[in-house]
Formats: sequence, C-alpha cells, structure tokens
Amino acid sequence: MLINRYISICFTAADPETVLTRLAKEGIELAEITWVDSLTLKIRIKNKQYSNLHRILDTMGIHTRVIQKQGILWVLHGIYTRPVFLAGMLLFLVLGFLLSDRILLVEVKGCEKISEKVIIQQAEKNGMRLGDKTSELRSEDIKNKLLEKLPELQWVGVTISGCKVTIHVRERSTTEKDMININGVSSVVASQDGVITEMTVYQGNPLFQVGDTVNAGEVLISGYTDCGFKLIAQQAQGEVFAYTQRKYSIVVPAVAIKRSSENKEHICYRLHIGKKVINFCNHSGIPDSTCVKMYSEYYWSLPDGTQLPVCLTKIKTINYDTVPIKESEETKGWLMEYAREYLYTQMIAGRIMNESVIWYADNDIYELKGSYACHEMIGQEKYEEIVEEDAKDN
Amino acid sequence: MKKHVNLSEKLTGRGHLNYDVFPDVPIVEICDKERVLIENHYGITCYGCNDICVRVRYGYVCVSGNQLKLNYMSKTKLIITGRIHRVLLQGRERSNAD
Repeated sequence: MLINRYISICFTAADPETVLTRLAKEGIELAEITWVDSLTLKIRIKNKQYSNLHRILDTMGIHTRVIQKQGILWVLHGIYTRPVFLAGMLLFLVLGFLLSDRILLVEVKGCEKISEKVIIQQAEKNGMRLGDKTSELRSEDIKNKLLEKLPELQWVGVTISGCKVTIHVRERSTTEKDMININGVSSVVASQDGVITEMTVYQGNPLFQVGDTVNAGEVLISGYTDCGFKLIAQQAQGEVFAYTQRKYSIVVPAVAIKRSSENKEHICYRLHIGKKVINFCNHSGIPDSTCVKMYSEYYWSLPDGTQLPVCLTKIKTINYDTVPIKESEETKGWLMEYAREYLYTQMIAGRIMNESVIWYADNDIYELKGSYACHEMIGQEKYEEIVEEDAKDN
Repeated sequence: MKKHVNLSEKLTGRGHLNYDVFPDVPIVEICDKERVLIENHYGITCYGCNDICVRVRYGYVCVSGNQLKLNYMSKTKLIITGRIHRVLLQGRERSNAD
C-alpha cells in the first residue's frame, strides 16, 4: 500500500448498492467501503482505476469528490512539484555529506577560573581550528600544548563526537606559589613608617615593642626563633598597630566638559562566524569622548544548550552634546571626601585621627594637599624562600 | 421424474472433484466471527451496519451482525468484516437454465 497510489473518493447515489455492483462488474477493485451518510459512500481505489471509475459514474450521472490521496508515490510527486524544497533537501544532503567530518562545534567542560575563550584560543593556536577535518586532529598534541601554555591546568582531555570537539579540563586546586606559602616561612613586616601603639604576637619572634619607631619594610615579627641549640622556622602571625602619617595631593582641572543632551543614536550590527567578522556598518565604530557605546552580544545556541560559534553583535552609539562647566566651591568638599575614601582603601585596618588640608584654586586647576594622622595596622605578612642548606640543623 | 443434472454435477460425480474448481460456483468462507469471504457473487442487494445481503447464483447470502463493513469488493470476491452473528443462505428454485 505504501508503494502504490490510492485515492479515496466519495459519491452520492439514490441506490448506492447498485452502483457498487456495477463498479465491481466493470473490474474496479473497491476497498474500505464505508457510509458517510444514508446515500453517500466513501471508497478507496487504485489511482490507475480512477479514470475508469469516473467515466462509469459520469454515465450514471453521479458526481465524485476526491478526499484523500495515499501512498509514497503521491508524497514524492508533491515534493517533485516543489523545486525550492527539493533543492534545499539536496543541498542539505550534500552539506551533510561534506561537513560530517569537519569540526563545527567546540565545547569546554570543567573550567571555573580560566575563561573558556582562553582555552579555545590556545587550542586554535595549536592546531585545532573550526572547519578542520576531525580525522587530522591530533588530540595528544593539543593536550600537551594546552598543559604547557596554561600552567593553571592539571589535566586536559580532548574527545571528538561527530562534528563536536569537547575539551575536558581540570584546574589545579592551588598554585605553586600557594603550595610554597602553605609550607614556607613568613614574617610580619611594617607597611608604613610609624610609632607602634599595640602589638599582639600569636606566633613568631617579636623584634620590636610598643613605643618603638619603625620604618616601612622592617621586620616586626620574625618567623625564625633562635632557641640556642636549634632554630625554629615558622609562619609569623600577629597584629601591629601604629600611629602613621600620610600625605596626598589631588589635582583637578577648573573647567570640565559635561554631557548635556542626547543628540542622535546610531545602531549597527556585526556578524561573527568563528573568527570572521562581517561588518554591516559603514564606519569603523571608534567613538570619541562625546559618544556612549553600548555593546550587546547574542550567541546562537542549539536546543540542548550547546553554543554555536555564531554571534550577532549590536552596537548602539549615542552622541551627546557637551557643555563646559566650571568647578565650584563644592569641589573642595567632594575632593576631601574622595581623599578620605582613597585613604581607607590603602589601609589594612584603622582610622583617621586628624587631617590638615591646603586648598589651592586657580583659573586652570584646583589642588588639594592633605596631611593625615592615622592609627592603622601596619603588620603585613611576607613569605620567605627556603634554601635547603640553610635549613639543615647544625 | 428425474431432476435435471447439469454437466458440472456429472463431472464432479464421475471425477470425484470438488465443486469449487468450477467457475461461477459461489463459495462462502467464514473466518472466526469477524470475517466472511464470498467468491463468485453477483453483487450486493443490501448494505447496512447490521445486515449485508449478497446475491449469488442460487439465491442470497445474508450476513447479520454488528458494525459490518465491506472491506473489499471486486468482480469475483467480496470480504465482509465486523462482528458476525449469522450467515444465512436463502436459496431459490433452480430454473432449467441453471
């Protein structure tokens, strides 16, 4: 039934049984004879008998209506009458045959701290590019190169599944420096010049006491303790607070340029296919200081979430009119506030006891010079490198 | 008075042959309670969901049941499907021409 062509038709007659008998006598094979209503029958016949049936029913004055066409040959006939669909199917088959052994997708799994883009870029530099044949991919070479170029990786695996290459990575849990730090010796050194007011030693050998004046870089708590018959090396821990003095100078121009109103906006699009970029803009897209540029990326992905290397970028550029504005006396206030906030970011911990500022205003610039007396923590941990011969016991 | 005996009956009697080897001899096959095949029919006289009557050489074959449907019909064969309760042969007097 799938290969032959069948047609389902309906006809209405006063005496349908007689019509059926007549059709059967004429050699027409009828199948699936069902009632539609009391005078209408639906039958299924072979396509090649339709003309004969139509002629017989015409002589009897009965009108027929084709309801359904069945069989794979009808489907093929329908496809044949649609040349664009046929051309698309052929193109799809050809592309599927040609591209089935090419790298079309690259996925990275297992990375947390390192960006996927970095790993993919390194892999592309070392012989894995989009469009290359999967049979020519040397996974061992790529793996070794990635481990060499990215020391943060502990293990790399490359698998190929059809057109998709998956790079599995495992990052190192701690860096080599951290490994040294966990097992090494450290001391507490002074980050600023000052007079020590408080000193709390949890571990190590204190070299100064409260009231002493220290310079920046001097060791406050040593990680080495000389016990006479042996030298103990450990990680010094402690908190050292001191009075310090900091000086800052901030200069701003007297006349600034401010954006006033929006002038016009311009939108352009770019299509990124792998590393190729198709620019639909008629200019380079480099704005000046009067423009605001907003950049949006839309990646195409498959239903299962796999991201394709195709991205549509929308660049919206808004031009502004600018007006010059002259700084006012309020500038002094926000400069002082800015200086205090900056000072707190430079401290490990502490507070500002006293401040003395000098304000200088000119036609061209405003300058604020500040001197700040602080009470802050100056102890800073510093790790030392262990040399094997020094560690031997005497 | 002897009844008229036709040629086919003579041949089947002498040659020990089955009737169904001769053309125009109606044959009714019942398969379970769902299918009836009638060969060498002369057309249908009644087609309904509960009754289908088929004209054969010596009378009518009436099939009674539920949800009866003519599944196939050609010049010589006819297949009825559905829930079949009764298959009845209604004969008529044979004429000299038979």
